[in-house]
Amino acid sequence: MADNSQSRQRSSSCRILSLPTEVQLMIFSYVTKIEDQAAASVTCIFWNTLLTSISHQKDHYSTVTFCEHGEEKSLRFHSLLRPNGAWLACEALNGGIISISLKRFPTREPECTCVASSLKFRIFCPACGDHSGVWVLSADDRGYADLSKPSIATLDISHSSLLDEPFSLPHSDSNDRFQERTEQSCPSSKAASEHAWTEEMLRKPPKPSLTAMGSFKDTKPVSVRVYLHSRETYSSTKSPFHGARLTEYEHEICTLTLRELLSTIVAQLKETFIAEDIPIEQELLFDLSESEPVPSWEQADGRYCSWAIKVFFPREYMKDQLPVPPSMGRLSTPTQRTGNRATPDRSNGYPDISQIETVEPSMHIYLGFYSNWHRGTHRGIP
Amino acid sequence: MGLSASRQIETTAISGHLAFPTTAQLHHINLPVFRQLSTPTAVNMTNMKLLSSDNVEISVEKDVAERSVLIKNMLEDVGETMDAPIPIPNVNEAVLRKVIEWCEHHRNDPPPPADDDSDSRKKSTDIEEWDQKFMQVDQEMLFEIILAANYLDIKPLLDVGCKTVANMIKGKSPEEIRKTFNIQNDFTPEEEDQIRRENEWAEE
Repeated sequence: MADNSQSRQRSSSCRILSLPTEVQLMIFSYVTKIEDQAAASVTCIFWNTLLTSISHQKDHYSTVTFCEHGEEKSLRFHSLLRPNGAWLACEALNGGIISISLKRFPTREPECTCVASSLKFRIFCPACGDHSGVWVLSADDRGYADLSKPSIATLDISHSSLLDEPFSLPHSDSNDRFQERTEQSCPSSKAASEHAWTEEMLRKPPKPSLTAMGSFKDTKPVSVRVYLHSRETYSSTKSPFHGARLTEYEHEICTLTLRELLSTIVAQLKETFIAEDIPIEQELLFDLSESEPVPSWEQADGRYCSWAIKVFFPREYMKDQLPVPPSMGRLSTPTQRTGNRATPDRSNGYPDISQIETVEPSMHIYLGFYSNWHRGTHRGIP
Repeated sequence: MGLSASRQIETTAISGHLAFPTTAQLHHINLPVFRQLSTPTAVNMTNMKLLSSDNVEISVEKDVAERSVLIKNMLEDVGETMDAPIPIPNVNEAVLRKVIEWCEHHRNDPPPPADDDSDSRKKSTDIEEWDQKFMQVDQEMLFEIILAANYLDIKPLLDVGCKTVANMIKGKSPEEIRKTFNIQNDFTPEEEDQIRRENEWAEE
């Protein structure tokens, strides 16, 4: 009997992989969660090929190889972020988020190309004695600023209607300090700053880039829904950050409110969407509730933490415009999908997300930051 | 006899003398054909035979068999005169009986929309209770049903089968998926590491 079941099991094991490819693809079309797709793609080479090259992920992700600090790396990006291939990173210093960067990697360059450009928003934390503000920095840590791109200069979130209050420009001493720091970290950034990022430019109020979205007024708007789920990626064990709620940071230490943080991210996404001719609405919806305990910034000291941001598109948009397989769209409400996570914060002024039909995440954005609380001056406060 | 009566009626109608058969003509028509002509629903009650790959003849009502687009098209092509069993060379008796069981249960279901890709798949992988029980079979049978549904072009059954398998994949780790389907891990450790790293952010 055992032999029979074993032989049956063996037989059936062959069967799933020997099903016609189109049937297997149809099966995967019902595996809508990215986590499940990821797990299946690690199962065997054939499914990895199916999921990464043939099925949804082909339409949603592309792998970019680049060189960082002499080490060849590859990252998978959402296709919406092509052709520039980008990822968002958020840095924290002294208990405050000081920068969010959208790093871009050239995809049409030879295999191993160093990071060519990145966008960085410097957000100074009042807790550190710096002026609260947002401004655009030309150079990334490695000094490969691409100042020729007008989008960098015009990209600005300070006029975003998503923010509670517009950011003010940083003080000049902050600029100096920042410039000094930039030059220390990247030798070539000095030339870059001489090239375009003069004091005058830094003082110049950034252009409201969102006005550039006027050209999309006539197009069908789409709302972007961002869900934030914290998770640590560079540690095998669960850190106190696992399952943490960003909202807590908002209240405890982080001077950058969650809304501001997300608005920043969304503003960057918008810029990407604009580049991709995808009209989006300014409305931002997100679900932040998590059941796990929330650590303090200090608990997260020295750890690299990251979040995967899931972006949802309305069903109509998925159906009509997004070049994705229909399988990506699973009609459900957040409550049905995420269970206890779906407790929208209605006090934040955003619509009740549970009332809106969405589809499964059609986009995932990687957000990470490194907390270096211990190195900062937060405890002593200058 | 039935055929000739049908032809007779057809001839009569075409000739234009009479739109319907006369009483005298009806006397010459055998009863089954008369019923077919007079009650459309009864037409679909006609039995037909399917021949499985292991040479077993299975009698099935025509409207049930016509849940299969393949069979339906075949019947339309050959007309009403097909008395011989229709060979289904890719499906054995056990699987064919399961497929027929499903078709019988769903015989009154509305036909699937032409553009079902857009909506039905977005309705998650929910499977109705009867179908869930129906699919509670061993994996071999499950895949056979899926193959049969694919071959016979029974889209709703294929969907149910695929959803069932998809549900078996969901929420599992790669190892669990491999174990469930007895899939051999053919990655090198390096390849697997790399893929895991790529997917790390997406994992819970």
